[in-house]
Amino acid sequence: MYNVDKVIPGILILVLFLTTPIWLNLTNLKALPPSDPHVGQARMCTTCHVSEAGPDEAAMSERCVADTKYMRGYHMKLLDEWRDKKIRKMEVNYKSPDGKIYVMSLQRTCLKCHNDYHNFCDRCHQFTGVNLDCFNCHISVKEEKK
Amino acid sequence: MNSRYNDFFFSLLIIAALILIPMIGVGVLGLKFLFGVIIPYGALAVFIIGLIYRMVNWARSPQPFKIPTTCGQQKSLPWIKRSRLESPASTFEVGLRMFFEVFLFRSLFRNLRADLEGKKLIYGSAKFLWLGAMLFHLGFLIIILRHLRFFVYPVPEFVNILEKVDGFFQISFPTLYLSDLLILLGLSFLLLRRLFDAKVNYISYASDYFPLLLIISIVITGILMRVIIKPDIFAIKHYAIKLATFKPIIPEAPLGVLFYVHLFLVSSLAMYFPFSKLVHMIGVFFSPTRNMANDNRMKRHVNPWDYPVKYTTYAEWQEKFRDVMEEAGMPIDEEWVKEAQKQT
Amino acid sequence: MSKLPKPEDLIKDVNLHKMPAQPWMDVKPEFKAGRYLYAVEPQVMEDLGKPHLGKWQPYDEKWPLPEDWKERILKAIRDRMERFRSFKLFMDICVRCGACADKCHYFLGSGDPKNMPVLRAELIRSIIKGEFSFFGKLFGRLAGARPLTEEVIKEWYYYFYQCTECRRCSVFCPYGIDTAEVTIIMREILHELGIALDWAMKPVRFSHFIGNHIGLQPHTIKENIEFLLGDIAEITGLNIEVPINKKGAEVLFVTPSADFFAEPGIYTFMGYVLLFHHIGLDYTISTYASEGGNFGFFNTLELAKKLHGKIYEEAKRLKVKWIIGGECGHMWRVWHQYHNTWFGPFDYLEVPKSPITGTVFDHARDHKAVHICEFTADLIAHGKLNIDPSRNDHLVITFHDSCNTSRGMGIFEEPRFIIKNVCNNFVEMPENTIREKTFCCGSGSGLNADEYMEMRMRGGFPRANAVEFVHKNYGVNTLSCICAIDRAVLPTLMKYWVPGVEVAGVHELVGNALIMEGEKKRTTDLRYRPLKGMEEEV
Repeated sequence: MYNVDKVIPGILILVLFLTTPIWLNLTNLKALPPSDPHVGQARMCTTCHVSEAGPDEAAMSERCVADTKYMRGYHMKLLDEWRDKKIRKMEVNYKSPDGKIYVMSLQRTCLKCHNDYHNFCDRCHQFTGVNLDCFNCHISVKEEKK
Repeated sequence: MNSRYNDFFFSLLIIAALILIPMIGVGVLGLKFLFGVIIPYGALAVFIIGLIYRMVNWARSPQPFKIPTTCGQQKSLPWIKRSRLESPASTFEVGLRMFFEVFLFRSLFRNLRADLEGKKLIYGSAKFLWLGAMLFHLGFLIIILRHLRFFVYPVPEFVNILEKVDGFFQISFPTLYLSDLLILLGLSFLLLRRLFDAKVNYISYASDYFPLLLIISIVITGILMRVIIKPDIFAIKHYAIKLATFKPIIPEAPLGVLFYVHLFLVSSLAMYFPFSKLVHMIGVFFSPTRNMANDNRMKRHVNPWDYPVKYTTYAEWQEKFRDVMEEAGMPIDEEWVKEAQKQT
Repeated sequence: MSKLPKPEDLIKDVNLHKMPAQPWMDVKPEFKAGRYLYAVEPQVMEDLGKPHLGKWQPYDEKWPLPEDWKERILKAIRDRMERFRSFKLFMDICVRCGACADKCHYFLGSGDPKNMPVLRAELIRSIIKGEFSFFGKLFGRLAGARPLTEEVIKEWYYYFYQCTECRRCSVFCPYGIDTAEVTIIMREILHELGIALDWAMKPVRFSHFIGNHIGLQPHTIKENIEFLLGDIAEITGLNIEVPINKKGAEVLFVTPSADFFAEPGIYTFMGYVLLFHHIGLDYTISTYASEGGNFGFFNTLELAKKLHGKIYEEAKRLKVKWIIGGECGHMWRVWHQYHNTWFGPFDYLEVPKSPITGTVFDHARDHKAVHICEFTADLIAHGKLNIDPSRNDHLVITFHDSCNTSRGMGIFEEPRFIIKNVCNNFVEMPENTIREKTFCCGSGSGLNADEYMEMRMRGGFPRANAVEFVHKNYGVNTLSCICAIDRAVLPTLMKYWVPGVEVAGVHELVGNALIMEGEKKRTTDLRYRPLKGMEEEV
């Protein structure tokens, strides 16, 4: 092999670059939040969850505007839709797919139950590195917490 | 079907197959571990080992001669303005040249187009190829770096910043990244060029369309997951970190077939990479016309396989022309002939 | 020889944006007169101890390839991949982006897609995939692979001798893929079977056995020089001597041998002689190392090395301190990029230092060879030359950057500096046709044979077109250059495309302008053309 002095460092740099996630995690991986988001949630969201044992899907979907699976993926779309309807079209109520009527309000509807910003919103958002700007305007549970 | 497009359609067919495989594999047969763990690990291994192999393979051949393409004034007399970038005379200047070459595609930026107007050749600037290539490659780099947010926890600050910059315009909701749009723009341009520019079409193989289509498919599945068919990101990150820390799991929460398609296409790209023209990513660093200094007369370059070649020595030559030289009154050098004989 | 079409007809059917209906792998080369070069005479190869195919010509239906031709070719390819990283790499990393496509002068002049540098390289790349790669064999054409056949050998002969190794494509390639390098190696591979050009090999034989490519014997060189000195005496009234084979001179001056005998190179030579006399340089030329150019380079690198060994033995024998090389393109590519590797280290020579100005040519400190333009530019910059630029007032001059000195050395400013100092009328050609983007003369790298005239005129078309532009717009009548092949072929090219433009070496212009001590009043230039205002007196 020729130009070993340049090729070997080159290979090392390449491998280091390609394995960035591996060594970044190696040095300072934080404890992951539990893989099943319901664990822990049960404790804090007592309006929906009656026991420590685990989520009560039935109870939850009865209360929340949509089922958990949908909400987990699409809550931002729903909130976006609410905002548009309320601010731009002056609508007040939201009719969920199962026919129930909710007031379209982050603070007065959502945060009623999901009142722990740190454990409810931030846990996922911070973990996955998704920036949320709801509370740039809304008085948040975050501030209450402080 | 016009034969000009055969190679394109063949590549399209392969892409369709690559999309179908995980759809059946995961969607129908439920082979999550195969598609979620074994194939991605395998692909990464093939990718890294393959690239190292290519590098070692290139390095096993020496570069016998110092042959930089000089695109600017050499370093000669001190009062002549020289081009450090285009005719580098030191390692540092070579580094600069390589930086501009690799990250800014400087040579491509020079691109011209030639046209024949009657009996006249005219040249025009043709920077679109550079722009398309730049959008594509830069977009790809940004997207890859952004993906770190799935593999690393806590998410590094530079990734957060990158993401904010990339999503600055808040196009649609959830925000479409600029890099996603630009890479599609770049890729589409490169693809359309291959299809409709007669010259480029003529030199294109299926192996030229395939990587373009593959990357386009990867980008589209990625955008789809961001905007329309949203998977459970929380679960995906859990899974991704476990992969990155070598404790693979398949989360119970479904990740969605689209995710597996995306993952399988990326794995295919990684496995295809080292065996294709895509190795230009690494190869460009080895290019002797760019990575060597134009200092041939200042510093000797040694060719490891150099061998002596027999040439006509002065003694042989003089012997041949002794008569005519003597007749013309030209000096005969016996001394050197003796000296040369002694040496051999 | 075929009749050359008229200029207005030659490129009529060239369309740069229309490609053949057939895929390129199905298109076979046609050996039409005027577009290919004759095969080497077997005796030439015999004399040099090289293999050959006996008597044959490219247009023969069946080439007399040896039985084991395929193994030999494959072995040669593998061998070159092992020895040349450049070749191996260039075969691997092309993405066929097409940036090079319309950069080749042969493509621009012929519209033949296989003259796009990318396809020229594909001619061999496809074979490497088809013969050595598993995936290549599996996917065949879809992966750009094909098997090696006798037809391929013909195609190689046709197209690798339709590349002048000018490197223009390499400037534009994002990975710096250098088709010249591919062509050099492909010509070597063809040589392994004994396939070579007659026109490129006969000069090799002459250079090897006699010392220069035309076969001038030592006494003939002397006579030629004396003849030129006679002209100088007539024009300037000075009796100048040229030291030949002088031991102990400070500088060995080596120039392409065409400067000794062929127009317009001889005028350039007269320029050198006047210059050296003007400054009183202690130099010598050699009749043994009487060729600066290198025809071996157009065939194989081994032959190139074989031919230039003489220069350094001569430098040792004559005990000179350093070397000046004359104006020549490919010669300087070889000198600049290969000599130091082949013949160094040169500890028997000294770091070049101009005895007139005291300038140390530090950039040549290791190789100890200086380009004549570097040397002269330094003299002018130090005000050591007595110059009357108005002696070139009868000329409107443009400068053709030779491919090799441009892209294989980077000498752009020195000749321009000289020209601007010795002439009053200097015009640049359009910017996309000069400097690193310069166009080949169309006949470089051993292709300036008469039987190849049509392709030469096609290949030279882009250069001629740029000259035509400045000829029509600025009245340019002189195309100056620093290359012996240019001087040999550009006159023909100009006569065909741009009548009224003459070709001159830069040092011819220097020779015109130099005010020599003790000279008589000059009425003509070195070509006996009247100087401006002297028309009556001649």
